[in-house]
Amino acid sequence: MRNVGDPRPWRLLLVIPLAISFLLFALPQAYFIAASFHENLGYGRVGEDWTLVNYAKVFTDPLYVGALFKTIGLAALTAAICLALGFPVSYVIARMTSRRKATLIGFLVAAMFITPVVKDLGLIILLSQNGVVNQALSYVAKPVAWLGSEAGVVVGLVHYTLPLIVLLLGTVISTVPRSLEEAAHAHGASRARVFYGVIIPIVKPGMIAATLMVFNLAMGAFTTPALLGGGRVLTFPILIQRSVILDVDYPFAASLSTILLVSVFCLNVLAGYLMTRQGQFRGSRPTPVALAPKAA
Amino acid sequence: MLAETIRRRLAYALVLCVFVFLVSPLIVVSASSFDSGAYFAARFPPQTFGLKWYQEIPPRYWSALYVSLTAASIASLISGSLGVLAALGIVRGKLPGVEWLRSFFRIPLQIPLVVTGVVFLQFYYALQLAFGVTLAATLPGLIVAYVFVGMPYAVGTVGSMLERLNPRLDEASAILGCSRWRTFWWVTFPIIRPSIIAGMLYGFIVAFGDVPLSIFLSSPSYTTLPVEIFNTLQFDFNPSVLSISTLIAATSVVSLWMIQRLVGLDMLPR
Repeated sequence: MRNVGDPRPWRLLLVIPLAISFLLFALPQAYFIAASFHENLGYGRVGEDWTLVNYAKVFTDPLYVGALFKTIGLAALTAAICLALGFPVSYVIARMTSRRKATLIGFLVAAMFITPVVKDLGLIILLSQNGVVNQALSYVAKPVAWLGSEAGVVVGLVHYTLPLIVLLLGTVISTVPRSLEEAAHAHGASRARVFYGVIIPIVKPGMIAATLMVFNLAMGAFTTPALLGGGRVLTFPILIQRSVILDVDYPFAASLSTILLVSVFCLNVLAGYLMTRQGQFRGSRPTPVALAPKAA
Repeated sequence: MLAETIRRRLAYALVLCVFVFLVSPLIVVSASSFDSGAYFAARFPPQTFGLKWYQEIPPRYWSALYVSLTAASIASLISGSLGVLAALGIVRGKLPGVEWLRSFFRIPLQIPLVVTGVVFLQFYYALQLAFGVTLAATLPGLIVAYVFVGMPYAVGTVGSMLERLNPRLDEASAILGCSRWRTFWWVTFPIIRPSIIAGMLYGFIVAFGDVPLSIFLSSPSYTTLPVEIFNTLQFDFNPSVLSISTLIAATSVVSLWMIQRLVGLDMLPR
């Protein structure tokens, strides 16, 4: 009998996809980042000498520095809203057992994969000056100029990322056995104590990962801020697109992209570092296993 | 007990609100696309009913739809096949450091699509200067970029199916005297086939709806449908954009329904 478990023939299969991925990723990306260190000569031509002039231009212009902070701020707000809305929803869905659960997951996946242009078109109609949302608001408050403002962009980004975080948190929450919660309840823990002492410590790593994923998605989002911001909310991805389409300045677009990638990467590392440090502090406190019943 | 009931009701109310929020834009778009009386702006709720804006979809939308459909379907076939090879190599190759390999194949999902778009555009210009091949604003150019972003989905769906596969099946087939190739073709492949189709469909949906990549890799005369809609929304509104958007959304929903029938929606990559 031939050796069934031999993994070596399977490894050969990796050659073609690896080569193609490498060709499509490493080579263009390296060329692109290298271009950000050269001067733009106009008409898509790039200078010979190495220079930092593009980066200097970004960091001395308040427009670009402000846009970077605005992009980070909008993405952070989006991630926070998504976590606050998404956690209870995914908890309810994760604890469902009926066929309704499959239907709801189907809705979420559909909402996630339908192209942002179509979803944004719907949001534009809903949020327009005389749209349904403002008509409903008119009974209690002044109409809000959603379109072309940060408020509209955040609504759009939340709409864009919410299905993903609900799906991700759902898989994380389903790993917490129901019996664990019931045991804590049986020993007299209050609802809040079960939540903070049992559920949160278990789901925390997954929760952080999901929130960061939403943050990254919102940082890199282009279609939604472009359509709902109406050209007045300039996030970094929009500036990248403008510097290519309007200014035909590739080295500058490359430096903007590099800054976007590096800042996303650094913020993720920083978040991970802060969370692990906090985790060490938490470690010295009573673990969920030692959850003591409240003194009667 | 009353507090428990109220809490439960509140939780369900929140779930309902979130789903209404998620689904409402799609309902609005499809409902107002049937409003024949609307001319300068979409009306919701619609006041008339008719198929006027479906009949008056301008030809440029149809040609853009054709570009999108060809590019996305060819790209999804290629990215699906490459994804199968990669998934087989990752899961069965049992290489040391396989986690790095997995992350390598996930990279396209981590880079903002705008950045990928600019990278490809510049790469295509460099190729044009060096070899004289034109890839920007051509079908092959779009396909290459779509293959890049679609591959992680195929690797993800096929990989998770392969991991669930019972290794005893391969052993049984070998004991019965099947060659390695016959085992793959008659045992493994039929089992993983749904996941291959699902991976291709995910790649198709992502490519079919893409704006940030295609906006760089298209020209005014050669463009994809989402980019065409994006431009319409930015510069001039026309009610037929509602009807073509409804058709796009319907295509995605049908594809997702097919994925659900094939493998279920819980095998989502990422």
